Amino acid sequence: MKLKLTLALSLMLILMLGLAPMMSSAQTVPVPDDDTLVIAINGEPGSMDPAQVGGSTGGSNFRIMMHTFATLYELGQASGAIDPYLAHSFTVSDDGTEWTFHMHEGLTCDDGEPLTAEDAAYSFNRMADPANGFTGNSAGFVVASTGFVEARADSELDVTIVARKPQNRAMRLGLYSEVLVHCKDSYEAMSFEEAARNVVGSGPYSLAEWVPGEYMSLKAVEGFGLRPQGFENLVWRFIPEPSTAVAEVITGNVDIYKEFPASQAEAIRNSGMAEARFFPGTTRTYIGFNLNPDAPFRVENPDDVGAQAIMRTDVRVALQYAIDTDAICENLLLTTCERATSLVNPSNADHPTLEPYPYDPAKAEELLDAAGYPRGDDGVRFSLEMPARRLTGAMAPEVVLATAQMLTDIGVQTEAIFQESGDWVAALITHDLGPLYFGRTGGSEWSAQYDMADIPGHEAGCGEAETNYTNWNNDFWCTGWDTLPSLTGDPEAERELEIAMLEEFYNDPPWIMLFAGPRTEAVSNRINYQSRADYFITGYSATLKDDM
Amino acid sequence: MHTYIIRRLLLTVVVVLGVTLLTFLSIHLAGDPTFFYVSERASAEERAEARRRLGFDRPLHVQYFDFLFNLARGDTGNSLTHRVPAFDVVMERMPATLELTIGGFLLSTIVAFPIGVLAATRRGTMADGTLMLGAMLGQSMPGFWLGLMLILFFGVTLRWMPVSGHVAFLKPLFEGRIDEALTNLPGAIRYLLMPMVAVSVYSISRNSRLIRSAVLEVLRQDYVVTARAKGLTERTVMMRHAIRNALIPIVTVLALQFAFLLNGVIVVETVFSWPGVGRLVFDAVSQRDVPLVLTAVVLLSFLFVSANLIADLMYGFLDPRIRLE
Repeated sequence: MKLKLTLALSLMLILMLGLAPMMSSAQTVPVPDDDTLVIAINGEPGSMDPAQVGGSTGGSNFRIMMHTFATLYELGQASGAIDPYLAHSFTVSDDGTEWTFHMHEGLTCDDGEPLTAEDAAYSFNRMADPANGFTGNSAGFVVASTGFVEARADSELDVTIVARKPQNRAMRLGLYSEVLVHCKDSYEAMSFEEAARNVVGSGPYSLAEWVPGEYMSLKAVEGFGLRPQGFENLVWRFIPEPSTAVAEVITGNVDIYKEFPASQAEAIRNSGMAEARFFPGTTRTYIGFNLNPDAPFRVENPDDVGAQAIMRTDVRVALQYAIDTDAICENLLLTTCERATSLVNPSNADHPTLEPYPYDPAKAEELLDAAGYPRGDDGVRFSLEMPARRLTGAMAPEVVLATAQMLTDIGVQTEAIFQESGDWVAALITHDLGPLYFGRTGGSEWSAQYDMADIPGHEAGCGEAETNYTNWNNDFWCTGWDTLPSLTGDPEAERELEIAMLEEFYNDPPWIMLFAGPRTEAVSNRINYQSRADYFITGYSATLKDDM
Repeated sequence: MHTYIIRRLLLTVVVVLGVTLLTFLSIHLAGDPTFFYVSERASAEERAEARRRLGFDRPLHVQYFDFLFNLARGDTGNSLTHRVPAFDVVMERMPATLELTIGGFLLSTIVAFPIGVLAATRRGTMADGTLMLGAMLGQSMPGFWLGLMLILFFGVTLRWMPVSGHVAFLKPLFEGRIDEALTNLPGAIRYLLMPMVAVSVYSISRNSRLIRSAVLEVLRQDYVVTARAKGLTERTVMMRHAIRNALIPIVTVLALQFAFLLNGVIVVETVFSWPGVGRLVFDAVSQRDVPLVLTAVVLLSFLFVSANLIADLMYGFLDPRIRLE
């Protein structure tokens, strides 16, 4: 009897499993249709508080919040453009410290509350207030990089943002364009916990549904006239595994997926469902020389020849010739890349005349011989360790290992050491990572100084400045950086100094310059969409093709 | 019996505390979590301020006992990344993990049992060899690889199954929305099928080999020979004497298997974009979200220990000679 019951139950279960695919259910996973654009991202937003944008969950919430919140100006779709958004124009005080943005009339937030200069000022002050404990891009990066002091509403439509000192205009405008504007009354009424899960936005889309761990669905805000809304619904699916996301693209369930593994481009193209795009990105990939005299590897082992050798400019220059970036890009990243001459993106306002160091291992060896580091009996000149992380794309382990091998080939025995991300970041920030480290840093297309800001001037500590991870202590550069703000009124002189600084960086390199990006993006054949070189995805600009 | 249960429950508390302590120490030994919650441009002073604000400046034992004290009051603190109570974040994902674990458990049990019994009763035949070869292959396949292969074949090539995603069944059920749960059931099963197979193949293989051994062991016992000598049919011998007696070691392993499946879902949840606790913990560990990791570990270890307790209690039911004292 028991056996029969067990058998019957098992049969029922098997039957249910077999029939289930043919039956319909109330809830479904969103798929693309004429009104719906589906975008896959690997990360998942933790908090949707606009002041917590780009926090510890990476930038996944930033990508989404660019659709639910507007900014005063916006990093444009076109390369290098910064376009008016909530503000139609701005004026700058004579001393360059006060920027007044003139906002459009008749703006509102999702809940109907009028959006005025008071709200814009509140947004800046709220994210910058240390008492609120926000981290991430706005609170951590914009505040520090612009020297933000305060924001105030001068009138209903004029908001003034005050900084400690002047700054390159494009850079400051770009940074202010990363601060998401939200309505004061709505957010004052919410606790931090409520603000993390609820969105009262100011952008072209509002939050319709958030299923944690699965997807977030946005709906076009009626009457929002400042940006296009190509689709009525935008769905952001959180797919952590890149191969799975590619499978969803191939089966037509995802329209846009940025940063797919290059090795899967062929599968995407062959599917006939999507384009596999490759293009230069803004993220700069490099090998850093840690020049910190107090770094543990130098203090604990003062006789380490390699750690001492890289303190010399001629050695650092020699190593530039050892890396074949063309081979790396063509064979490992399956695309072509332009080798950088400095820390500024080639597509940004890079140095106009400098030529990238060519791949010339013979010259590298010759220079190392001349510097007094000949090969020993074992063929080794000196040894170096190169900590790295296991990431994807240009930071993939195979890229790291290839560069280590190229250095080893010229007698600089280089060991790539893959570390847990937290350890790597902690050592990087405290300038203890090295002697070499394989790194990357975000960049822009709209201001050379944005890219140069990694290494600020004497006022910020020069070699000891927080983001100067190599501890490069170059007086010309640091003095130049401190001088740049005074030249904002004279763009020609400002540019001239930028160029001289980039030349200094080239001649006394704290990095082995590699390349920017490259980026990949799978885009469904059914849509028109312009890929962006930076990290963002502007889904609002995508439209359905006419013949679809 | 009651004394035994109370003793085991007290032991459960000790085990959960031990697990939280180990987790707490390992997450802190891996580096200062503060670095995940400050900008790369933060100065040393700003980092110190963030460390103070997050409470990481206090001695480790103070941090740990604070967590335990708050846990006793039902307060697990806010997730550092989600900025909402960690308990809510974990419980939001728990139903999806239970769907996958229970589904995988049922599938592995239902499939492994006939395979093991069949292989035992056909010992030394081609059927036995084929089934055990299949079991060995199943045990050798990593869940991650198998998941991707299932996606490639059934999702991409044949287009029979959805590639990834999830339709909720247990969550609306737990929240009392029974109609919604029942309406969702077909979709839930459809999305569950491939992850369930991926998570259970290893268990099916292991269990079928174990069941085969247990049944073979029992078939050699005197009482089975006696039963056959009495003229009972082979079916009666198997069902009434052999299988029931073989169940005791099998139940032990099945209970542990449930716990094993809880661990295994981390990889499968990632491959199939399944919104469960495994994936959440993986992300939380990467982001050093200490309150979230500890809360998830407390809840998962409680489930783990409970599964073992249930197995122990079942011994008494399966074999009346065993007294739980």
